[in-house]
Amino acid sequence: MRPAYRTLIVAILAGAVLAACKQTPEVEEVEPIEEPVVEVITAPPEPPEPPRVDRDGNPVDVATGRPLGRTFYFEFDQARLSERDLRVLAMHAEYLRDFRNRSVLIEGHCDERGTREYNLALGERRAQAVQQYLSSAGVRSSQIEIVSYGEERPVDSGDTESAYAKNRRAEMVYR
Amino acid sequence: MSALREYAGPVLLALLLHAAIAAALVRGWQPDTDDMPRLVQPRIIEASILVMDKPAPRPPLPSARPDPVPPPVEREPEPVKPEPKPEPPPRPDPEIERRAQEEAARQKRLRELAEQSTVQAFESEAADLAEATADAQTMTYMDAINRAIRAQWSRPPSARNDMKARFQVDLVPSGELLGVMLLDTSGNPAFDRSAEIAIRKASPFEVPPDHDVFEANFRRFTLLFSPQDLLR
Amino acid sequence: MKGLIKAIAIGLTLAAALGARAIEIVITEGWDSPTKIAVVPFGGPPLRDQPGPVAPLDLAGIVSFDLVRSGQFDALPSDNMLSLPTVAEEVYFRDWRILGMDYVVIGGAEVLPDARIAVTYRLFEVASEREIISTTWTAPGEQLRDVAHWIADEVYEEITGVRGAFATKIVYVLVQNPNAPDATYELTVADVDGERERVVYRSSEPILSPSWAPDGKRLAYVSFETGRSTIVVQDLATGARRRVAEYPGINGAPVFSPDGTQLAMALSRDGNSEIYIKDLETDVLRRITRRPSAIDTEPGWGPEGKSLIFTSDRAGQPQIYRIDLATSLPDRLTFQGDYNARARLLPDGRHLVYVHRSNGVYHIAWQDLERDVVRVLTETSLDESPSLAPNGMMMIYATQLRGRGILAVVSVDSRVKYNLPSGLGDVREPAWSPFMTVDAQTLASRAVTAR
Repeated sequence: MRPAYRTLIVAILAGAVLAACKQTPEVEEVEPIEEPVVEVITAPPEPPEPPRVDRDGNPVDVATGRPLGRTFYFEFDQARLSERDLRVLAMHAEYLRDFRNRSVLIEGHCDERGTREYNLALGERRAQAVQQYLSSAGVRSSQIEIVSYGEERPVDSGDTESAYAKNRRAEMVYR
Repeated sequence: MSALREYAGPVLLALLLHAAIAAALVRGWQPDTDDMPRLVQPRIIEASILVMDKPAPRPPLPSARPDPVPPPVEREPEPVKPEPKPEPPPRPDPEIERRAQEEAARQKRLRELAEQSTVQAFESEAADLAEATADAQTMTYMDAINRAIRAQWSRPPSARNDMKARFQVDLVPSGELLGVMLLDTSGNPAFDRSAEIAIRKASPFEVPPDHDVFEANFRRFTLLFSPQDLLR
Repeated sequence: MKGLIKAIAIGLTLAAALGARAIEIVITEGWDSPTKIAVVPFGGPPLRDQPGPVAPLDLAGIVSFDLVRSGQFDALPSDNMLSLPTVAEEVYFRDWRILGMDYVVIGGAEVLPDARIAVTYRLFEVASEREIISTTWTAPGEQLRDVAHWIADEVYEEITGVRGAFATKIVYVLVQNPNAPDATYELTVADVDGERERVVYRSSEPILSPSWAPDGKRLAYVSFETGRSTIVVQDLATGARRRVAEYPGINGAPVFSPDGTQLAMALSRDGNSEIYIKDLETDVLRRITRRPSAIDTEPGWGPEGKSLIFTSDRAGQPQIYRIDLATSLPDRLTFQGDYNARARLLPDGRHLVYVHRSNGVYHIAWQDLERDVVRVLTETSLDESPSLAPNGMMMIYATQLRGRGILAVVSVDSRVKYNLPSGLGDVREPAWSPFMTVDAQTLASRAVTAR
């Protein structure tokens, strides 16, 4: 782990402790504030042997060292994740559980067929599918944010079935 | 149109039957009524217009007045059923003579009466016949006018099924339009105007060459515009 | 069956005729074809609606083009006219009858001492040789195009019995460099003939679902300017913008209520997309649908604001539903096809247009709600975003031509279809404005001309 990174974590944890001490939450953010206290104790600052992230800060498969897939594809008008996706998401969840300071933005997207507003809702449903899995795997809701772009941001502007298939997706963006 | 064709057969048949009876009656019993044949014959000829021997091309009505007159229907009068003449029963009475004379006189009177009533019946039938042919002719030309106007009638988008606009139309014997007058408005000026334009654009009209029929029905008539075929 | 009815009709008429000795011919069918009209080039000096070296405006040409685009008119090209009258005395009806014209429009313009322009026009009906309209419009030069559209509106209404909608506007989203990192989204307002385009908002983030306030003076739309969907209401005259919905999740599909005081929208603040109504004065939000497992979106108002129609996939696929706002009872409206979405009601409240998929192709369909008849109006593919002219006669929609988004217009009787011209970029998400009233601000006036 790079020193800057460690500093950041320490800073955040310290902030969390301070916040917990303050005990006068102005906003109702009770949940995300109280738990980090436990975290301070359980996460010893020892360097993990295999690297958990790649150079861009995206988590990697600990076994292979390769970056975890962050894009998940869907059938037309569907928001169901495949088993393979779920296995990949399980590793993301593990990482996010281990690093409570990391958070992800999940973007939902659609192909250009169908109406824009319906696709906006469908894209959200796809992002929610990912969000729900991560939550059920123990990732905190404060670590996950979702956004739907509907059909507004295709990766392939073609009008072929393969282009459409590439566009029906949910993308995880680590921050 | 199919209506016209469906009508044609039965109407013609009826006409021919009437004609045959009439002819038989005329020839057999009343050769002296000299205005009868004149009345009957031309009607029969005109009735044949209705037949439309070639049923295919109907719309363009003969543009020239003198229609190609089909040969008058020549047919032997069918033998008319002889009236059963009641035989006077033989009377053995001595007054037979006198009674027979009386009976003969009575029979004669009866016969005369019977003949008279036959003539009356015939006369009314002939009148019906004349009317039927005139009506058939009227119908033919009504339908032609209907078709001509329909082809010119472009309804505005505000038109709705069952709207009704009624116009009075005045024609001259050549079929030229003398005047159009709105009798009943549909309540939609655009609709009314579309109908009036259709009348004007469809004129001059084909009208019957028969003076009486024209005067009776086509000098002035009304047109009711009431669409039934619109989408809404 | 028709034949039989007609036979009976003729029979009855004949029977009546025999009795009364006066016949009546009953016409129950017609041959609907476009009305033939000649709009003769207007007389007067060359007129321009903007400074600079621009071509003079052809008022008659604008009127003529408006009428033709409705599908209800066939206009005679001026090259084919036998004469070019500009005053009533020069109109020879026989000539126009020979040319098969039903109507003739003539007109002329003059510049007044105060620099305003007076445009006088007359409408004649050829068959009866009658003058039907005679009117003068007076307006500043920059409003000459409006004057031409107003004339077209008047002529159209007089002849068809339906209010004209040529002097209305459209709003759409023009995307420059679509699908590129430097794509820009331009919310654009233009005349319905595509002229006088004006960008009213520009962003590097997507813009969608523009919708007009009933007064034609404000727009509501979805903007991703904050990185997520947000509903914005913008005043067209001042350019002032206000974010009216910035809830967590989706903020989409805004539509103004018929009285302009409320905005129906789709929000997913409670977990999934549901229909809400927001009061624009009190900011009170009212939730209309409650289906946590279904997408409910794309609301549209029913007549008088008493009901909403919307898209929902509660039955498994998107279909159109209607909900009565008093009883909150929904009923399903569409049953044909496996994808029906983004519906709009015609002004009569009896007919719907919506995006309809059949055989995997997306078209715009029209549905008669009372008789349950469905007709497909368009034949291109990926047809989207249908929006009706305020008179309910025409519909604008987005489609694709050679991979590029364009706008097309179709008459609701599907008699005429045309594409709107567009320059570079992708054009999408059109919305037809309501009727624009000629108010004091326009400085124009109208008078019936005495002969």
